[in-house]
Amino acid sequence: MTWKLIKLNLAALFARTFRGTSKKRKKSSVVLFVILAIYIAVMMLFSVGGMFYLLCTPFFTMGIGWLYFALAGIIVFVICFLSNVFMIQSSLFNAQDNELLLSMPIKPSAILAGRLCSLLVVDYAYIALIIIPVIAVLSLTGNITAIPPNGIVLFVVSAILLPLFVTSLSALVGYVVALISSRMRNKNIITLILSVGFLILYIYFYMNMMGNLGNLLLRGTEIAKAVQRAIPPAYHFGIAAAQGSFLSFLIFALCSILPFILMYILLSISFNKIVAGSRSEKKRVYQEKALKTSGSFNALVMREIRLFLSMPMYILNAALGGIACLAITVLLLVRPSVLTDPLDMIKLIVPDFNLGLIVAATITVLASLNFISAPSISLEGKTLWVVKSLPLQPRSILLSKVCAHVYLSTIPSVLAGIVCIFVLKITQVMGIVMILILPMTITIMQALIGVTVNLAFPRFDWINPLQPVKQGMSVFISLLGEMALMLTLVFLYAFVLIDKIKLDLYLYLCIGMFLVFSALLYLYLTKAGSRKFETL
Amino acid sequence: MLHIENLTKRYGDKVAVDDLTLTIASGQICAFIGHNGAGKTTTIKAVSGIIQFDSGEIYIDGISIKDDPIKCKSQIAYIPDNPDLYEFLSGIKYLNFIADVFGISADTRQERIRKYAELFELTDDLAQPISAYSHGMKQKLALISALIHEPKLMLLDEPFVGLDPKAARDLKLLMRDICDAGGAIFFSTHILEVAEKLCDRVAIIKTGRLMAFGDMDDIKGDSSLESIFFELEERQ
Repeated sequence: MTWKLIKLNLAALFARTFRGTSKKRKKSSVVLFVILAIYIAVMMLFSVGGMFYLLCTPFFTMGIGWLYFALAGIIVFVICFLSNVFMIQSSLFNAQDNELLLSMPIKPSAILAGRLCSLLVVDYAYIALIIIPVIAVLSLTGNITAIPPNGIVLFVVSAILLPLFVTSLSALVGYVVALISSRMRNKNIITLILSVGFLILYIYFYMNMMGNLGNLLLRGTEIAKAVQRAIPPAYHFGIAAAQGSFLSFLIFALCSILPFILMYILLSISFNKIVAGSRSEKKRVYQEKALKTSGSFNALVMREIRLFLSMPMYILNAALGGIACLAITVLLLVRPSVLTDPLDMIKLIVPDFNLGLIVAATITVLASLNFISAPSISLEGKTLWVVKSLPLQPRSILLSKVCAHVYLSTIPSVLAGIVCIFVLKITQVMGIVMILILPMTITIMQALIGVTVNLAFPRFDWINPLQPVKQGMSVFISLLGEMALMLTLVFLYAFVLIDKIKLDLYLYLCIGMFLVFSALLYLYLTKAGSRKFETL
Repeated sequence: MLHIENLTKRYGDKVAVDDLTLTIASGQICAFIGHNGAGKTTTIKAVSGIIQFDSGEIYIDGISIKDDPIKCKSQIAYIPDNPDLYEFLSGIKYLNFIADVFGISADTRQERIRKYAELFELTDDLAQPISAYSHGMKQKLALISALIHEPKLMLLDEPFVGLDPKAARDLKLLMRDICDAGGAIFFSTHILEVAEKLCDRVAIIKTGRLMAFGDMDDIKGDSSLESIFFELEERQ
């Protein structure tokens, strides 16, 4: 049974990645996935490979070659941990078929094994992205000769064992979160707070990874001693690979396997309790209050906003730009020097540096990361009948999705813009106008693009509402399309038009172009798009 | 109140509803019966304006649903066989949303919500998120939302599924009250006893084609609806 469940979970993981009702759609999603995988692999190869290339020879010269491997292990650990923490809630404790499986004569340990296997598979994909460039750099720099033959074998086997430890730790965090949220009335808040926390941690880790390179090179020996003292498993991970030490490998293997076995036994015992939940939360009894009335269009917009706010993962995925804008706002209010100091330095080097335009461009790029409207039609799912059976014009339904995107995306960008104007003391009128208008125009265009593309690629057969948000074709196309548009505009100016027209005129032209394109999309949605919606 | 004329709906090569014609007058309850996949849900969805059809006409109170779908929809209420509602809203927020769409005044919506929530014993649960509702509670909420604008025509797809005995009895009484007040109800069901006792008219559908349609007493004659249904099913 355990093996059957493992196979079932792996099949589900595969199906989630290559979703499609027809062979043609499945084929296109495989092609899409392959393109995406190649892109990520190349990016990782260059960024991870580049970083390790800088460290490899100095570390081996200093005689701390083991730190090279230990560092790879630490990076794998952090990436896998953050990925697991995001996935563990939905795939382990809140999986939709948990209750169905528990009602069958299946041991909780078998259900758990199936779930953990899919987590491990995802971890191994991340590991490959780190380990391959690490070995490639080792061979490219010739330092591979400094390692005993069994070193690489032990390195690979240790890397295979590493996710066991990561999964144990992330399952523990997930277990605590599940226990807390099972007692909370509003589970979304805790999920959102934790998710944002881990996201900030992830960004912090990623941003500091390159910044700390210099530190690693300068104080390599010192850091090596600190790692040896503070993180013994990382030390033994490194020694096993660098010196081919079987004893160190054994110590590391025990550090990975034992917590995993312990976690597996503990969760097997308490799985039933976590999934069924104590349901100790109090029932909210309805107290009659005066009901607020609004027009049908406003009601539709509010419905979209409530749906968005009810799904923490929708917020985290589709409003990353908005979150970043809010983070900038808070950062500028709490510690303005983080941004003002480097900007002052740039001003000294480049006197005619136009701060207003740079801020406008930055907020615009951040606003372009939001894709709230792109999965909005698909998210109707099985409830599509509600709006279709109500006396509503299809264009009102479509435009309510556009409006919700505009509200949700504009508020953080305008807020960030206003705070930037005051804190960074931007006085040029053109800069101020651009900060307020440029992000808004791109937001409107993006909202219209999202709905239009989703109208062309709707999916209503999802099981988990995150599927259209994370894996929807409309999301992929609108994000990729907008990134391509933004890059084209930037490169067009930087390499072709920089000497021909002024930046402010170019930005006005861009605004004009965005507005014209938005008007065309609006016309489409209110005419042919509405007719298409009726056929869904 | 409802006139369906030569309705045909195809899904690819499959004819789901084939040249169906029927009429329901104000004050009538009409049961729509047939085996699974006979075309009941497709017909009800076409009447409620959810799906488009290939040919034929549907008139609600004399207005073609093709020509003026908004006016038609403002007079009808539809409840699907599986009440998939907005799980991210609480019961009261869902009802308020529906009332907003129909433009019901604050006082009227408050009064109707109070009346129907008490009838279906859902008042205490209205503040709960719909995701916490059982199937029966969702069905009750869908019924309340369908009644909030006092529709002239109700289209119900398997309305008794999931309801507790009291709610089922209350719904039957309510259906009769609505029709006595001049409304009309067209509903699908597999519970032939309910159809027989409650309905003035009956339509029997098989593989998309209407096998029988008329007054309940005329269709069943001296025998039961069940025996007539199986007799028609075995024919051909």
